[in-house]
Amino acid sequence: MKNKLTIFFFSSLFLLSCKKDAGKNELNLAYQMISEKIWYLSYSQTITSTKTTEKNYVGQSTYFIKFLKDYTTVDSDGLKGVYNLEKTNDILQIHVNAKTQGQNTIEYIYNVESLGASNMILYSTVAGVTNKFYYDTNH
Amino acid sequence: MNIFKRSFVTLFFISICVGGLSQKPLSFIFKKAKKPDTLVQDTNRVTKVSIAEKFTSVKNNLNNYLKKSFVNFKDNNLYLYAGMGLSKQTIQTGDYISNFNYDLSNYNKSTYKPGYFVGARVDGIYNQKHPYTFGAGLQKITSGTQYKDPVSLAPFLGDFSKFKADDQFFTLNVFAHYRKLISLKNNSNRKFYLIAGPNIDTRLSSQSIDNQVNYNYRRFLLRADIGVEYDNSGYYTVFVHYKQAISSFTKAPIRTNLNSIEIGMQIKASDIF
Repeated sequence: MKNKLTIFFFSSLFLLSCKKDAGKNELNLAYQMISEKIWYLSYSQTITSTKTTEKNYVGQSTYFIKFLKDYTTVDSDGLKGVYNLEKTNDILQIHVNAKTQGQNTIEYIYNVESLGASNMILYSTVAGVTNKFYYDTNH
Repeated sequence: MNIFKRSFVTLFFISICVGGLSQKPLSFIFKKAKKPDTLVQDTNRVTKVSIAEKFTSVKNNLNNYLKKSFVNFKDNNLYLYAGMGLSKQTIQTGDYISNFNYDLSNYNKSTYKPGYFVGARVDGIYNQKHPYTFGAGLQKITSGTQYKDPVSLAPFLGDFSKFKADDQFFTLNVFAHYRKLISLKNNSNRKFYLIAGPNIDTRLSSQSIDNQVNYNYRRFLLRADIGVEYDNSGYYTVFVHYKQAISSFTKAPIRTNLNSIEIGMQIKASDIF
């Protein structure tokens, strides 16, 4: 009886002990989805308390940003730097430290609303105005 | 690595089953510490005992235990079975929250996909009236995935989901069936049975990276199993089973129903070995 209980206890422990850190897994998945791709801006929205303005860039020459496997980034404006994926206050974020062509340092953080293998929605809110950016990889 | 892990888990479960059925088959593993003077004598004795004798001992213990415990379970025959299963999941994500999206044009496949299974089962008669089956096996499930409530990410076109269903599982399948003989003319040798009973799948494979964010899949899945079996004069039995999910394979608020159609054949173990 004691042997059976021991086996049951260890088998239960084995089955239940397979969970890894879910937060780390989320960042790993986000990295897999975002990296080694060129993200083209397709739509942008400016949302205030009274109105929403939308711009459509589909089929036009538009802003793009590359996130590379080695955590470096480059965009169509000539900014080069590094990026990191973070989770702050339960919000998934892309944190970019870059330099302009004139070697000025720029740091910006975008919140992730939704991230997929070919679609990404980022947003930032400043002084009650939310800017949403809709990127996709098939421009 | 996965194959090794699966093999380990399988062996682990088999050892649990054997340990659970017999009183002392594994007792040589869990021997208590003995006094030093008797230890040398015991070691010599153990080396003389061949592996075949150990197996015979295990078999006898198991038989004695089964005879004592299952007095009313008669005419037990061990069968080995194998076959293929066709599976499909229907998915309702409800108000599931996630930072990720999945374009359903790549994932929404309302089809049954093929997998396979192997295992062993015991057929017998309870109280000389009620035919039954107990069994266990390993199953590779590959399933189509049908999403019932896609979401929009306007202005992006198309349907999306915040949850991506896993479509491959490796499970340990344990079941108990009640069998009902269907009366047909001239069926003395060829018998048809209707079967029904519960079926528990234990997921042995790990979840995909997409589902390791929230660990959406449960370890166990309860399904109802109904089907037809055709026994051809005791040479072999072919069967068709339909397994309908009773519990969801995923945690709330996501609800996934994993249903399968299984076609297989079983042969008496004594006819093979």
